[in-house]
Amino acid sequence: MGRLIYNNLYCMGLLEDAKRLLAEKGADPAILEDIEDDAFGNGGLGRLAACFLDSAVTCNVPLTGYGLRFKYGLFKQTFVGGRQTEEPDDWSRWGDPWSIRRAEEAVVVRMKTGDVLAVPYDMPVVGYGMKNIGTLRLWQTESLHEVDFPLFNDQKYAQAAADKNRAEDIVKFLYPNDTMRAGKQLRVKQQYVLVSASMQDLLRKYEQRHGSDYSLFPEEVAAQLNDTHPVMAIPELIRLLGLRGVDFETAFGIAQRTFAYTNHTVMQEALEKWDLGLLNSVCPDIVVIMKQIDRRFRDEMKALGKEVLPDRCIIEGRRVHMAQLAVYATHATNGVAELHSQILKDDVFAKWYEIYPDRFQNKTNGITQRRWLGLCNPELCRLIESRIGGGFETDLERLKRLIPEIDDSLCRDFIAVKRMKKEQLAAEIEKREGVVLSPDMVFDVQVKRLHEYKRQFMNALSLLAIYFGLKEGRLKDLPPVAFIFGAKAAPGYRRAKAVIYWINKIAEMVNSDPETAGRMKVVFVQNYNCSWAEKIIPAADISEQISPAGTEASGTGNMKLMLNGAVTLGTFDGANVEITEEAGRENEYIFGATVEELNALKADYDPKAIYEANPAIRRALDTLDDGTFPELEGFAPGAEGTLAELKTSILEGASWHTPDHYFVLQDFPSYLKAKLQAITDAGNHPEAFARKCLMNVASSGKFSSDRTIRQYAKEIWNV
Amino acid sequence: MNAKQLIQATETLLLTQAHKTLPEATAAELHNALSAAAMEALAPVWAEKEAERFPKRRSASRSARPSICPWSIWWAG
Repeated sequence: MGRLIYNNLYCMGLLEDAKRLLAEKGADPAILEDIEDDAFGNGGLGRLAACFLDSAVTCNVPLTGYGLRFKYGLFKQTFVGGRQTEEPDDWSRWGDPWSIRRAEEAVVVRMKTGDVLAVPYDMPVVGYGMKNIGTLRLWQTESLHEVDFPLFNDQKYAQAAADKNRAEDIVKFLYPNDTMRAGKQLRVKQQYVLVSASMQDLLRKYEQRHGSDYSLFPEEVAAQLNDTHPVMAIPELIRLLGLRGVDFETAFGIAQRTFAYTNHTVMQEALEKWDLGLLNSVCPDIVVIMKQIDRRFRDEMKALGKEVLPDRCIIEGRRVHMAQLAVYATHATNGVAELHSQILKDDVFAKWYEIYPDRFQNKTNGITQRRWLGLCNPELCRLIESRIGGGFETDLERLKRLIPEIDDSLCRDFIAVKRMKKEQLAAEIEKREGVVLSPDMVFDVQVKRLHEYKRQFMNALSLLAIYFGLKEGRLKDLPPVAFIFGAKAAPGYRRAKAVIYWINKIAEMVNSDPETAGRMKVVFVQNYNCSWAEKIIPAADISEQISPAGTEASGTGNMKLMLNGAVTLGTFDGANVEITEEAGRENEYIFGATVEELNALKADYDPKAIYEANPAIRRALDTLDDGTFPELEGFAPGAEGTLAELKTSILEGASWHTPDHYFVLQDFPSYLKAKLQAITDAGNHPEAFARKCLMNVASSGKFSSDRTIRQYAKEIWNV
Repeated sequence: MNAKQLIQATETLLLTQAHKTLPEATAAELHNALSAAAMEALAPVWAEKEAERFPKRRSASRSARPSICPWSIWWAG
């Protein structure tokens, strides 16, 4: 979510004056930089929700966010010897001044493992200009009985506090490790607490207005399921209505008209499927309702003469498909970029689309320009205002007015602003990472979660190809360039952590080589988060969005970078497609195979043949097992988590992966070519490159989350 | 509340909570006092908007405009 203090004061219109007054009174406002981010979220999905709340409140759409108040947010990342290490992030240890505990609105959540109290903590969501303020309601789980006094008096202190610990453990960690059953059960408890508490809250508020007449519920309440994690809200609402005397069919109808579902990924491994036995161990009543929904679905298919198939079912054997349950039991399903929504219809939910075509929609993601331009790049705002006036803080489409203003003078001013932002970032990187970057370098940036499909691996290969090219005099004209990475890998994701280690080792080699000094630097910032993003994004020249076509649902980092005047070096994937449509292909660096090309290639894809035929790829890939870098310790030779296994996974495949599952070697030649062109243009033709950057800024209006939220409000929520 | 009033309120809170002046405050102390002062300023508008979103009385019309559109956020971004 990022720091609230700056954002809230900015939206209240007080930030700059408050900073000035603090300085006048002898306080250093910069010390607020030491305050850590509120890190309830995990990556793009959490930050997207924060952008939506910001937009809703600014656009006067009545939206309340519900979530869990985790004690420890996403871990704090540090690098030791190049390896990622994780520490708990106790984000509220110095206090939580932005939350109000509403104990009087606590609800009891009943689970087979023991009942808990869910206590809401409300945070204000401040609209721009403070004309409106919304609420983010986060549930904290507590014991119904603080301490067991008889046990305490018997001096059995651990047992006396057991219930308290059991309740509080539910929201102790965001994303607990769930490789074993206990971890999975904890995640089910987290999901169930969120949905049960939130549905009880909504029903209570509704009943204050309408008593026990639930017929108006879908007209008054629209609930958007942000991915599959809150999908248990559907059976929970049906259960709660049942307890109030509403029959199943009526309750199902109410739920279906109330809920809509947003799909955020096409990755099969991320589409949740829960074991019914596991669900039964936490919330058996929900399993009963799920089975009723499944029966209803099967009856409906029978009536329609349609088959129940693995990709068109709700319960398959002992597992419930949460995404498919969501498609069936809601009135709308949407993807988050045009391409992604098409893939949902053509592939992921094709069998559902065949029956319910009217349910499928697209809502291309967006970002709030208040945080991602106004707050993080006031220098660029001032430049834009000097040419076209203000107003883009609440109407980003106004940036289009910049297009006729793009001339040599504006380009020079833009270059000056970009340099200022690079100086600021370089100072921060030197302070925190000890790496010195020149603001005269081209800044090439890849910041996002570490995942194989995001292909930081391919970026690393390119670093080696460029490094060897510089040393061997093959890239004489390449301007000085800094490659900046920021990414956290899930603690149990060994291959992703090996990629971090590899990039850090490449950085050590490159940064200590006098032959390439001043020409190439590599830095991987530790603990990438919103605050880092607010510094890195405004300083970027090149935005790396390099996932294979058809894998990234949308991306939002691509939009933030575009808004701040970076060109996209990317594939035709996710929202990159729409970014290119808006800004013009001539203003981006697009490479790689399309979805159709990759689909056609799949059956005969032979990465080994590419490896054998391409000396540059072979040389870069061989650094993984030829002793160039010390192998990661603590693993069996060649095991997952080692550098050697990274190479094996590309050439031979690994676990469920086919060889080079994400087509790194296929796209690499066109990627390297486009990348070298982008760096050359940025460094050697700065004014022409600045025009491209300014075209990106001017064309970014579509990607305001104000537009996205208005579409949700009008086309799904009927607000 | 304007910025001057915000900083005055911050100074008062700092003195009350930490017995410190602005230049003496640590990052956490300054953050907490400044945030608390801002929360005071937000409170009236927040309460008013919440009351608008969740009116307690029965709706006068069955075709009343939807009054809430909750967004279920998992991992509470």
